[in-house]
Amino acid sequence: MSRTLLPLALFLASALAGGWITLTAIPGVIMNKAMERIEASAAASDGVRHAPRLREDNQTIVRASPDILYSVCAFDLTEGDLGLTVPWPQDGHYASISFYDARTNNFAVISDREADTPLSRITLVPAGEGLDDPSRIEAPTDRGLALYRRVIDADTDLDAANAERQAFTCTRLSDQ
Amino acid sequence: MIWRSILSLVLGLACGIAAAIFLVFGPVEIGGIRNGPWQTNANIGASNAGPILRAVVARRGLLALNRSETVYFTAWEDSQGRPLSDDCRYAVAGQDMPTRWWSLTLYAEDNFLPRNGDNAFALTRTDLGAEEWGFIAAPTRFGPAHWLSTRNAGAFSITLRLYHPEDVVRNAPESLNLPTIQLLDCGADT
Repeated sequence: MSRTLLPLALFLASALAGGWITLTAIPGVIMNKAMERIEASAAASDGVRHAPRLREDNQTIVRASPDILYSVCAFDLTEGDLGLTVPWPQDGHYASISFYDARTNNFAVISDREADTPLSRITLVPAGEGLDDPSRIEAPTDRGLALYRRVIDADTDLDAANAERQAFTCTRLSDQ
Repeated sequence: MIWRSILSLVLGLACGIAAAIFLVFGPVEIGGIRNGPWQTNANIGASNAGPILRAVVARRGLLALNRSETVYFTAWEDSQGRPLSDDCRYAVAGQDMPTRWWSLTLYAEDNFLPRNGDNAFALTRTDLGAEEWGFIAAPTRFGPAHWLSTRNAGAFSITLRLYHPEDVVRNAPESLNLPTIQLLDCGADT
């Protein structure tokens, strides 16, 4: 009996383990690729990549929105805290800054609805270093992405929107 | 006995890994809540999403916003449950929705915007208006109506994004009056 049951139990246990390990690893692998691509493309622009408006010939991420201007920076808090400045649209459109950890979790988001000034200043810090200060956001993992979104539509002055989002900056505070 | 056990372990691991890869990269739709042809999932973008959903979202909707910011609905089928196809024409009709702003984007079978040179892959509340509206999804433009091009899109899908949705969108997405997608004709008729 055990000659049959033991291999069957081993098969089922290893199948479950293999499936679980693979599912757990996939988001990290995909996120890592995205971060590497962004780090490479943002290296020449002080850490921020201001992506051009999405078109069919410049897509790099699946199901991105053509109604959004995206700016993004990859962070690595082992090299110091990250200081961000985030501009909010003056034409009343939606904008937000969202933070993703190395496992793709969206661990924080701030939108124009919460902003009380045209430009917000945020510091991203490692877990446990938030000091109960709302301008200090704790990241659950040292590496991840900060993604700025700004809605554009048929009425948007694209040149003005592009100029406005240049005020989105990511600066490693140890550099200062 | 040892060899049989090792073989069972190796086969089990291979099957588990293959099943996980198929689940994420195969033709699996993001499940969750249905409303007509539209599907959404309350866990998209959330840190408490399970490993399967997180892996599927990482592949199909990497860097999605959480539901306080945006609720995403996607339709892979028409209102009668038939898979959407670039070989057919569809009439999409709706009305304003309880949210600050919304947009509709057509994605090809590979989850990217269709590569067809038509530059007709998205319509928004700004384009369609705050009252009742409609458009045609078809391989070629159809009269003066608003149009999304399905040319070269294969088994395409349409994603509806609701930015800063009202509470009802998050709490009862199955109760919303979302756009209908009606098949007009297929094949040579198009």
